[in-house]
Amino acid sequence: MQSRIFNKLGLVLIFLLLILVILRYSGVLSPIEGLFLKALNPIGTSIYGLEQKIKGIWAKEISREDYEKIKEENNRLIVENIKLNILKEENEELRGILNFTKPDQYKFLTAEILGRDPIFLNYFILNKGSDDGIKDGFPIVSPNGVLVGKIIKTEKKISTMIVPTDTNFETAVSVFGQSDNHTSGLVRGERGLGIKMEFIRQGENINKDDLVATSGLEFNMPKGLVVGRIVEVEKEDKVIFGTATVSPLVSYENLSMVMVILPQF
Amino acid sequence: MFSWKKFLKILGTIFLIAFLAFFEISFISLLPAPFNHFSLFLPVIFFISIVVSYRQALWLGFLEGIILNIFSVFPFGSISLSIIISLVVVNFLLNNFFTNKSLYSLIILGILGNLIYLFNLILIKFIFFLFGIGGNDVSEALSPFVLSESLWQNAFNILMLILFFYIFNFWGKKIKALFL
Repeated sequence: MQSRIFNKLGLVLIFLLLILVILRYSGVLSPIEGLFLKALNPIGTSIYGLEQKIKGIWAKEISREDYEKIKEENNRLIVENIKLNILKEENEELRGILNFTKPDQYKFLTAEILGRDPIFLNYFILNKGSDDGIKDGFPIVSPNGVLVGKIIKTEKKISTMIVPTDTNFETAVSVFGQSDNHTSGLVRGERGLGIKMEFIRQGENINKDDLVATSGLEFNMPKGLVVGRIVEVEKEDKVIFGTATVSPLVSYENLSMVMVILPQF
Repeated sequence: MFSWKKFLKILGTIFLIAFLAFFEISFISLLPAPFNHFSLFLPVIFFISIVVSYRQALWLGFLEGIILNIFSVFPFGSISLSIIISLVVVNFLLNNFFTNKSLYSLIILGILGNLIYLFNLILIKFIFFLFGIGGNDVSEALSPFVLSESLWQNAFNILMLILFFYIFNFWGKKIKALFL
């Protein structure tokens, strides 16, 4: 008899849940949810910050070998930066000559990471939402400009981002390497473990260490956002398209602050 | 009539629910694999259901699920529904098969409850996939990678249940302890 009464409670709770679902999707619960999130978001940010500090304590010290590699890479980037600066100056000079002004198409909104989705561990929760102008599909970059995800779900005060290694992430990209022809393709995540670039035409000249960046063909996705670097090219005979493995340039687990790119138009 | 004891009990419950939710979202889920597969709220809810009160566990699971669902892309209500169904099944098994409330029954019920909870989530994901509103195909949901995550979650949950068992046994007399 006692267990029958308690199972009635189970049915009552399921019925109550159904009412809550209807109220939520009809927007009735939005103000209460907004207040609730506004009150609790700082707690989430604080716990996340504490977790990052603890992680920092356990981080391994960098070895001499790694230090030399980083130094070498840094030097290479300095040289590349100089070349880019030269190109930038030439570009500005030409624009001036042509009286061509390009309006700023995008603005950046800084957001803090509150935590992760309790079910989908490749989804990160941000402390900004639709009230701040965020919509589904908007790209997200790290503070140094590397593409780290896309918005997949938006609420008023929070939003959820998906990282490039998740299976549901895909975006159009181009390869920026030694060749002047920017090979196009599509990157997709692989179950949280890595990134795969697909639909690479056979015969295209792409090599290990080439940079992969967005091609700008996707709506609301600016061109030139770096996704990662090619680590392996897989070409098979009698197949139209090849694939390549892309390694991300940043560790998504160490992100604490990101920037959401908001279109101005 | 207003009672301080009742008020403090409600306040304590709200604090527990909020703590479990944020600990899950902002701490555990950001730990490196495989530690991020641990779910603190599940062993807590199962333990309360089996040892303390089924009624309290149902309410706790219901409210906890709602809070977690606000922060999840999962359809609203899915997490609460999965928790409630697993609690109902665990309670049924407890009252009809595992009646002695020993450590072994606690572990087996914890494993079964966790598996039922995960199965419910996979089923809901698949249903939404069939309707074309996101979700996952069964092959993705039952991939070896996902199954290994489930094994890790079960392992951590069992450890927590054993810990709760011995702590509760040390402080309380409600449960009968049987050593391995």
